[in-house]
Amino acid sequence: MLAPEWRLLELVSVGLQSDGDRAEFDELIAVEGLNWGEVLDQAVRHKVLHLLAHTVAARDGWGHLPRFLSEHFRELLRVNRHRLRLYRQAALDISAALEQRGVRVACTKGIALESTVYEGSGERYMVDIDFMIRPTDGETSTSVMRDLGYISGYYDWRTGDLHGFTRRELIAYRLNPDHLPPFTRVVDDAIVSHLSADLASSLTWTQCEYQVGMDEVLATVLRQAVPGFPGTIPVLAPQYQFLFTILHLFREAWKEEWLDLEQDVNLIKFSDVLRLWRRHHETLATPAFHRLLEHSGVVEPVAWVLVHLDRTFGTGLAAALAIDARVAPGFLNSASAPGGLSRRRWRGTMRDRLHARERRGLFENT
Amino acid sequence: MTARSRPATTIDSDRDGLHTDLRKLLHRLLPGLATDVDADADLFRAGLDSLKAVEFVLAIEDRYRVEFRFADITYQRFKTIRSVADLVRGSSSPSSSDAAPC
Repeated sequence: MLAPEWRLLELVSVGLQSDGDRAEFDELIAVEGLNWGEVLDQAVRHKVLHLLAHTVAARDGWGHLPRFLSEHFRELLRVNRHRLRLYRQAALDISAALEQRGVRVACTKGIALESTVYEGSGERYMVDIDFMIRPTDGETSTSVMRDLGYISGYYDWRTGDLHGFTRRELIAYRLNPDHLPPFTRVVDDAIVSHLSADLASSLTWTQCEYQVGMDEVLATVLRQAVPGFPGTIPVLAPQYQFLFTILHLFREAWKEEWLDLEQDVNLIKFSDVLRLWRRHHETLATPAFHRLLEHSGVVEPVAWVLVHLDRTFGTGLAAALAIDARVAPGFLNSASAPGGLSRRRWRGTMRDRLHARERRGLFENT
Repeated sequence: MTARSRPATTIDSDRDGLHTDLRKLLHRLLPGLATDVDADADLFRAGLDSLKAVEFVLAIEDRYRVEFRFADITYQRFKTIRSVADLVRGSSSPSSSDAAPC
């Protein structure tokens, strides 16, 4: 039996799909003695606080919230909608400038999903704008970003200034060229201080055994409308968008080093995968997509993610793709130790791992 | 050439000597690594993770008083003792076209 606080977060993460879901949500936020401190703490950790606020608003559940929380939730949504407008404009500007210089590019993750699978309601929280480029376009892309006023660096919250990366940090990016060093620029805005953009050139990571050619991934880029703006942004075709979202989750769940960066697997990553599936299942639950998985040699990591998703949320994606039996024994609870040299294992279910605040203790040597 | 060199660079011109020296530097970061690791062995498969690789680059720069160009700092160039040695040797060449005192 799940605690109501956790069940509430799982429910908003997968979305209210039926009358039963909606009734359950209404009951959960009305539970007497519901520990809102626990709800908020886990919602922030899992980046679903805005999803929760939006769902409360959509269900008109304000009367069940502590009064202090109602106004805070409304403010969260207002600020996030404002921030999304800036991100949308920036995504349009950056992608247009890159394309003008011949860079094949696609917007990914939050900026690609917020107006489609999250319906542009301000419920999808994001801290940066993500793009996918080919590895050969790194230099040109860096030049474009500089022309747009971005620097390779980060925003200093104490001083309000931008700081370039240290030599040590830049060396780390050189040795892991699956991402360019993130770009940041200050924004002249009363609410949003700065914008950050992340340009990746791999669906996985530099030394990963699972690689999908970026020429193939970016060969079919679709145009997607941007709410409130006249232009369009380039996005990956549904099968590659789904594949990337899965492999991104796998990357941050399977590589143990993400634990230290507090970017380990969370509810919003599973939410992205599941919502993409719902939106594009007619394209994805097909022999063509299955062939793509086989041809790309990524059945194993995709099965890792989808079997965990299915077991946690009661869905049936892995079976629908006929890959539910394609996970070797022991692989589901495996992880890659730092350096990738040895395998580790983690104890419990994915739900146990998601719920745990101190996850390090779940990991052990094989 | 491959790096901006500082004055007073002292690099063992003897290939085996340089290889041995690099192995010692690496061994400090990876104590479990064999001290006679093959010059062509894949260091990343031998346990050099991304964080330790950064330490390795900085340790080499400090040891030989060189500063590699970012363009030369690649996964491929730091993959084996031999490729690292070639890079270090190139970085110390007095004829280096982009050599600049710090």
